[in-house]
Amino acid sequence: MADLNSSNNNKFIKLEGVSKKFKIKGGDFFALKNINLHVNYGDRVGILGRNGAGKTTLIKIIGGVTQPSSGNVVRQMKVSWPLAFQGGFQGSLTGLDNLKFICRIYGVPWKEKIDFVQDFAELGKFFYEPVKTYSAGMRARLAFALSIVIEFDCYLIDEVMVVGDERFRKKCEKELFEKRIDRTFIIASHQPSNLKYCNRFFVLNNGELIEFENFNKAWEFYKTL
Amino acid sequence: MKILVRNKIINFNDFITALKTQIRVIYALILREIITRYGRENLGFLWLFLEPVIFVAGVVILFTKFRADRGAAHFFIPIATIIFTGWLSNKLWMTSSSRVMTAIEANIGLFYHRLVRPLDVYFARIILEIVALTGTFMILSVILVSIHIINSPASYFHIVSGWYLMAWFTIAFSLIISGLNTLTNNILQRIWSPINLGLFIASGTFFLVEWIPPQFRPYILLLPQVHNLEMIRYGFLGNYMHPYYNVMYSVCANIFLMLLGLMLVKLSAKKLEIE
Repeated sequence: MADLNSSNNNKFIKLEGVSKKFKIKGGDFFALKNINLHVNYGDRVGILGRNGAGKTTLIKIIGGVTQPSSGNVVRQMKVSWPLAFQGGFQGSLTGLDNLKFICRIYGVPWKEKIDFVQDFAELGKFFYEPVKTYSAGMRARLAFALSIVIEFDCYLIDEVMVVGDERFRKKCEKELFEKRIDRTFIIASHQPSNLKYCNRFFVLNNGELIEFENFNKAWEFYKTL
Repeated sequence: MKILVRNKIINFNDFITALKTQIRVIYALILREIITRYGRENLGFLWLFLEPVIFVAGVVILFTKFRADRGAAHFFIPIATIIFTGWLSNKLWMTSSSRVMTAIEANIGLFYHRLVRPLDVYFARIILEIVALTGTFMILSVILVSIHIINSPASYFHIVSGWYLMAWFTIAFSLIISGLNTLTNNILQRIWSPINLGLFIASGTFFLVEWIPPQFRPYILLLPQVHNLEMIRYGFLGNYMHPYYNVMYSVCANIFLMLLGLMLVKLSAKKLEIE
């Protein structure tokens, strides 16, 4: 194991009795039921779940995008927004405008990031054109590039690696899981292959989160669902 | 320094950090808003000022051409000054209250960033509106005074204080409207333009308080914006008019409305988060 920086020892994320209910016709629907989770710095948490199991809701709650109906979330490290998220792009803004915006809200100088984003997202001159002229692939690449401009302690990833083609996917994986392997990751996916970098394994089923000792046990359980 | 908030001890430094973050976020949102609203082609953000300038210039010219005091020099009504001050001052809260109502929808994707809160989005739009109209007010004042269409100010102090109180009122009022709109599931948005227009006219845009019968004055003076407007007009007209305003009333109303606005935004933010 890489030696942990002492200041990273007291970094953690804690979910205490987190529940989330949605109002639907004929009563309440519980998307998450009494979730307890403690993530330390350096944990790479993999969460398997079928469609509609509550993966996105859980990621959003950890990221502070939505609030739980009950329970508490304690964030004692710098947590990213759900990664590779493509919303928040306003058509009339250019790639550069979006970069400036992200850098400004997180208080990072944007000038020195231009080369990286332009190069990584492979946008060429389109970087200075409004986002409405972008193809779906270009948007996705820009979204991912912007996600790694800001350095976080913990990256939240919801159904990743659907970004672009095989080659770009490799590039993303390298950027995240090779250069930043010492960080914390929380990855939610329905595909077991996306969990290959994880060291803790969970299955989310009907809003309940169950931890398993290793991937094989989680996978065995997941297959029976 | 530690402060006790809702039984939690909050470090003063944490508060300063949070304040800095909020200012950073609002600044980023304002810059973003300027581009999304005005684009970067042709005059770009200059439209921020030109839009109201052209509008007010049109209205003032229209009213001075058909001024009521034509041919009756002894009965002087400074109609251009009244329209100019009334229109721009009341436009502050009128436009910003209607613009904040669409702020959430237009920026919904940004809430993926935990640091961006509904209050920041509201503030960005309100501040931009206030800055634009204040700029317009200053530019137009200079132009219109220099070509003798409106009276040269009798008291700058009254103009500045009145405008300041009006800007404060604009923030409080807009926060209330945006909060109520969210809490009523955007129903307010559908009926807001006629109400807004009615308020705009009732708030003395085209008349002085001294013109209305004494028995109705107390009712019109319940609206704090009328006090602010009277103050601004007094600054321009001086002894040409008898002003009706109470600074204490305006300040107290602003404090009360501001607290109410912040409370409603907090309630509505909770509602947005749950959805």
